[in-house]
Amino acid sequence: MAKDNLYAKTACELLDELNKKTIVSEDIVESVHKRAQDIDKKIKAYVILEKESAIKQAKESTLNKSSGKLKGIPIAIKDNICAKDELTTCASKILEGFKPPYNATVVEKLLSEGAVIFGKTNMDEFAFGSSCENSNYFPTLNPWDLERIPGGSSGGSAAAVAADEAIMALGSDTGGSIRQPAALCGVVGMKPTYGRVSRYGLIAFASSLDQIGPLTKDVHDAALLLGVIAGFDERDSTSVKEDVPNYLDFLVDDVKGMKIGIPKEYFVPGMDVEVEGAIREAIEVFKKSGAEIREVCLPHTEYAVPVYYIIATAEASSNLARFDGVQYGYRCSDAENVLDMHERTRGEGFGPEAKRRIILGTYVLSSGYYEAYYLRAQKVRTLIMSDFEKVFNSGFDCILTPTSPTPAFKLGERLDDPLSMYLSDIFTISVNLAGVPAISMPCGFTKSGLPIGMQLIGKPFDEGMLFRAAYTYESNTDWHKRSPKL
Amino acid sequence: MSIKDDVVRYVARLARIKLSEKEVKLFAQQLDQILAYVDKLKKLDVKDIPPTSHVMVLKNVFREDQTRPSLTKEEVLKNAPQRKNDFFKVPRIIEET
Repeated sequence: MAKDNLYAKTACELLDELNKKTIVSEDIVESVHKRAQDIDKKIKAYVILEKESAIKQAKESTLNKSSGKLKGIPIAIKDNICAKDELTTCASKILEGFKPPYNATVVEKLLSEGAVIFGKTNMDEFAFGSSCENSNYFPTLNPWDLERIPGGSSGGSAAAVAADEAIMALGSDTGGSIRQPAALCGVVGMKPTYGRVSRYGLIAFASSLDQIGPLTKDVHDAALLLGVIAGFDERDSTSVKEDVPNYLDFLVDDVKGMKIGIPKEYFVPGMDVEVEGAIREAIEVFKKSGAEIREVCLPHTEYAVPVYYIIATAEASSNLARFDGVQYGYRCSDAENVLDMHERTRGEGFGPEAKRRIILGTYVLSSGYYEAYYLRAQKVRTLIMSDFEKVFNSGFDCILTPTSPTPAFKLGERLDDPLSMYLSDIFTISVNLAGVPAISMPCGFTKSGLPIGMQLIGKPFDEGMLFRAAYTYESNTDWHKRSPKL
Repeated sequence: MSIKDDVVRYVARLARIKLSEKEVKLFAQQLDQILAYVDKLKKLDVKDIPPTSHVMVLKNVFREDQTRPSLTKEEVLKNAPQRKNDFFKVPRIIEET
């Protein structure tokens, strides 16, 4: 078979070829690497791309006769996931030069299934952002329109998969950071249930919300990749001792009798008409496939963004206290004393959005404001969680919404207005606050050719149901087969 | 309520971040805008609602207190911006009297 366009294939297609021995893993790495060399000048999805170590891993994978589930497949990793002795910086100056002495659990799991770690992808600094513009390196661009952002914070991972510069990728999602870039780049992205995937080795943003998840070209690959990274890990005491089903068993074209809720609060005035149109058409596809569609209520939806920006910044301000110039990363020069060293290291090392969030988070936790902001937000979080419980307890299998209220916006458009940037995540944030799983997948394109994403939200630990619904939709549409012209 | 520059300076000190005067002014204005938006939470009556700090019921996780391999000193220290022998080096903390 032709070996020069292997980059355009899915992991499942490549695994078939590897099993038939028509290709070896090095062929895939060569093909994807050549592709990245040709086009990453335009997209800038990667912050590090190491061919030699990838080829070495691919050779080992070829020699090793064991049958790993991802044997020989190159996978890109978001720059906030630790890979041993590989630069891991969260796209921040304050972590410049940091090479972790250990692997994240997800990286260990990938390696033990024969995957090839292919490079580190760009992101908003510490995952603070929805556009990939808050990177200390450079902004990543949307493969469908190079004047637009790819979404964020896992924008590098989403753009790399969309542009066929990676076969699969890992991202992290605290308020939509996998799903929103997946939607804006026209790929599949899943945020698993909180506790489904170990966070050990994921550099923490907001510990009660963060999850690692897959970004892939189709639903099948997402199910395959989640199956590899999911499971209890004693090094993350918030990971859950719950069996991981074989997610591939859920890939059936059948939603007969499935009850899907459409929350009326997600169809707001001012929403992009093309996004709304695409979602309405997707609902029809599910109806035709035999799903039962009903309107549902998630009445506290409008409070999700304010709750999130209190809880997430409070947790971030605490998590980011560790970057003090002592153990790793950047340190300012010529400090007069320890206080001066801490203050200047952090003042010089953090970018504007990181500073803004640490200041906000410190403020809402500070004496005199704690009850008015932080405690109140935690109480409203309870109400948001119970909105979802009520819907699922009344017999619904999943909830269908748009992933993002608009398609990809232009570079710089929201950069000076933090609040409008925060509102990009209006449809994804509740899911993290409630800890439930959700998947985003392509469901159409605007007239100008920008991808539109649909989100399916499920019950805790019922990712299988989401894969079934998503696979059925994908089997009856062909949005996922389109590729950007590059 | 509006955030005064002094409040931003005070919070930045708590967070150990040196800000320029330009940043202080910008953040004061942006935080005002964000907090005004967040104030919509005050519309809700949450008197009898329990707070959620975490979506799962978390209990302490214990394990046997057994020794097991950890990172070597070299691995731990290799990322240090400054080190001296087997220590992280920092500016003097205890002042001479």
